[in-house]
Amino acid sequence: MKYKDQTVAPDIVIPSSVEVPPFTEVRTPEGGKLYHVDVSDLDLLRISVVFRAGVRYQTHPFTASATVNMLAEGTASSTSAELAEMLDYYGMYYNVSIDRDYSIVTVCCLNRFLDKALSLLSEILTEPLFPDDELAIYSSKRKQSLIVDRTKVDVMASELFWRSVYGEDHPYGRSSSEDGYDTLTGDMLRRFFRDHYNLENSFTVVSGKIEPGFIERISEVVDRLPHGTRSFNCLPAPHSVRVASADKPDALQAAIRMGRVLFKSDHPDYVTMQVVSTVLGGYFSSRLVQNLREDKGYTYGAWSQVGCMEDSGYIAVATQVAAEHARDAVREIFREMERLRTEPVPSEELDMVKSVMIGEMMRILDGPFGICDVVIENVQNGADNGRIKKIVEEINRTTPEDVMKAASLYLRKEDITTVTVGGI
Amino acid sequence: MIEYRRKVLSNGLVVLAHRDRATSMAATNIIYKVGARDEDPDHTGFAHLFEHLMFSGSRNAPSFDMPVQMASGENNAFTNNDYTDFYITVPKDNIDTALWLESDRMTDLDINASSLDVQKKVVIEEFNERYLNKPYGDLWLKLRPFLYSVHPYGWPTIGKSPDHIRNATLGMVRDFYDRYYHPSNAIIAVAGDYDYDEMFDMVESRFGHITDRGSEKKVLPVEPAQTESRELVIEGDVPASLVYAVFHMCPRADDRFVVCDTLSDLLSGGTSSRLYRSLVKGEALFTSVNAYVTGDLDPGLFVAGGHVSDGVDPKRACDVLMRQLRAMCEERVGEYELTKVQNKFEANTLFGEVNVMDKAMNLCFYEMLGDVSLVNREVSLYRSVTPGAITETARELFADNNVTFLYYLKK
Repeated sequence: MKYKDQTVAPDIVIPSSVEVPPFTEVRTPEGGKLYHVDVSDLDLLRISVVFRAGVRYQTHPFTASATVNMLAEGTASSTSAELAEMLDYYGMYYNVSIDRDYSIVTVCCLNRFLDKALSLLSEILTEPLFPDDELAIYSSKRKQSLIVDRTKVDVMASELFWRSVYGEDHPYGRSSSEDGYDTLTGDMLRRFFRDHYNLENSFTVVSGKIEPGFIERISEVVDRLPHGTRSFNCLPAPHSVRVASADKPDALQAAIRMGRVLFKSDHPDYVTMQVVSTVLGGYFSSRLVQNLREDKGYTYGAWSQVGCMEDSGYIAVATQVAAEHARDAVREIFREMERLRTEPVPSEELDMVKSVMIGEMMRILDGPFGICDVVIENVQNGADNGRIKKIVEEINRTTPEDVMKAASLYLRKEDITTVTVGGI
Repeated sequence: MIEYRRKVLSNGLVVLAHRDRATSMAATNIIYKVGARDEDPDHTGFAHLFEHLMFSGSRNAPSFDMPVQMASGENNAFTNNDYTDFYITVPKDNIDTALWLESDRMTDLDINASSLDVQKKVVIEEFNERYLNKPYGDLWLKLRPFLYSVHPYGWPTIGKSPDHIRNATLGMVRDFYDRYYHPSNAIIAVAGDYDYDEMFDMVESRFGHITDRGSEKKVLPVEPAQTESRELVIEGDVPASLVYAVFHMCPRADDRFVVCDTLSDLLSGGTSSRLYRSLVKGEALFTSVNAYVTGDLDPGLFVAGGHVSDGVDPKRACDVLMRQLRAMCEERVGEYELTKVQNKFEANTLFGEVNVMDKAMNLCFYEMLGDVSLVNREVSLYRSVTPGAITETARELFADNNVTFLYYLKK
């Protein structure tokens, strides 16, 4: 065997595009939207049903999350215990998630148990009861874990950040007292369910190994959703403050959040800002990690993220540092933002960032389940899977000048909100 | 089912290969058989600190992270009491970059004062963030020494105290590297869409030249059997009281391990499980409940318990919890219930093997346990567990002289 010369670094191939298998769009007989992508040789299936039933649509705190979380806590046909038995007996993975705009109900199953998964899905999506006794247990559990979470500086900082950039009364900024759980009623959940869990307000995505006849069977279940209307509400303009802080006297560390409102993902500068954010704090060799962790040892980690909701978007920087370094860390974060605004990113660094961003997308697509998330995001953006290819092309086209221009436009010190929570 | 082939290089490195035709990604995973168990009791947290130093660059790759990132890769590592695991995923065409980096740091790691200095600070911040600045974060810092009187499982991977990290010296780092980081103390797995021969060749071409340093097998002190029920009470500024019942159990490779794990699944696997139905739902004594096995190489722990509901006496919550555990010693588990947890185990195993990374990691893990073929046999092993074996194991495990109660009380 000839050994390779260790002194020479191997050639690297930078993927110039990311191949995403296209999805097939199906209209169910009742008019429901169903998207599927056949991607795997493993006998596994993931079904996700997405509703426009996020937190923004609730009028009483915690209604939206309680509704989706309690779908499987008792239906007209089965008790909560019976549903739990069924899920566990057939080894199904059941999960719900919620963000500000959408709720998602997901079931993953072995192909041989598809029928069981479908009958379960049908039950919980069409006839949940939200029993009062189950709600009482749910509320007390949630309340307690929220109280636990709110003793952590990073959670405190995150909530304070959203209030500070969007405003306390904005649906994207609001955080509610845990006491809101005490007044939550089954009627509120039933009303929320009736208003938002319908065919016109949802779409379904299926990924995995799709066998003949599967889509017809899944369509039939989707079509059991009642007809209704698409959720819609107008959001007020964000109202941001520049500085906010909260004291937590015993905390060894301070949590820091910095950022601002940006724009939705259809904005022409969206991808460029993704690049800016990645340079700043989107990967391990990012400037923030190098500065705050590797050079100064202030922190275990630091990150920056550009994210989007349906009607807005943001950039957020986060870190948790030794309390005595909080001020220094804020100063360094501003310094890194200013550098991005005034100095072009060296092209080697930009190339690396592009590779990182493309690698990240490829990793999400590995395996039969990740693609489902990609399809959901694309459908939410009114696009097909070709959107990923376009994003990759746009990332690859980005120049140091583009980065500097976007940074200087969107990372002006006077526009950035700074939130600090801890022993300060 | 993970198809694999195995080969041992002449320097002792065990190589495992898996062909995955369905992906454009590839993965490498390396386990070094060293963990917190191998540390000097006066210098704990060292294995984990060393894991951080493995990213400081090596002779031919002064930066570890840059080439990974240039190759659209991602890498990370973790340390536990028994072993240290490093993994990299890259697009298929860039696998040699991953192998180059891993082989270079196996033999030519750049050990220097400035990176030690920075990583000490980073690890101390990790200590603060995860163990001191978080409710219940210090639980295992206090519980481990109470559970183990002589075995090194008496301290957590992060170490006994930040001072141990502060006191680490460059000499200790070099010594640790020489002792534990060499081919015969490591296992590597490669997964991706390549021929098996191609995979073995690419590993050999990068690792074959490395000289093995060999290592004497360290004998760890054996923890004496517990003789009476014990109790540890901690008071803290926590939002809710927490109760655990902890039991000493068999090592991971023991035949009874799958029985103990099945017991934990019966008790808390999913929302139809016994503890969830009776303690969180039924009487609502707990807001969360869990039962799990630590799965350590040496005799490990079976842990059951959770957060107690507001206004409930922790002692009473604990009594009801124990009643559920004792029921496992007396009544036979029905076939339906047993099939349920076995079905669930099978599904979770499949769900947990969907990415190239998962597969590479699992192969290394089972090889480290002593038999890589276990990776594809565990589902049938779990299927072969009988109601009789469960009752018998539960009696042994939940014996009165084998329990330690932990009360973490809200001040």
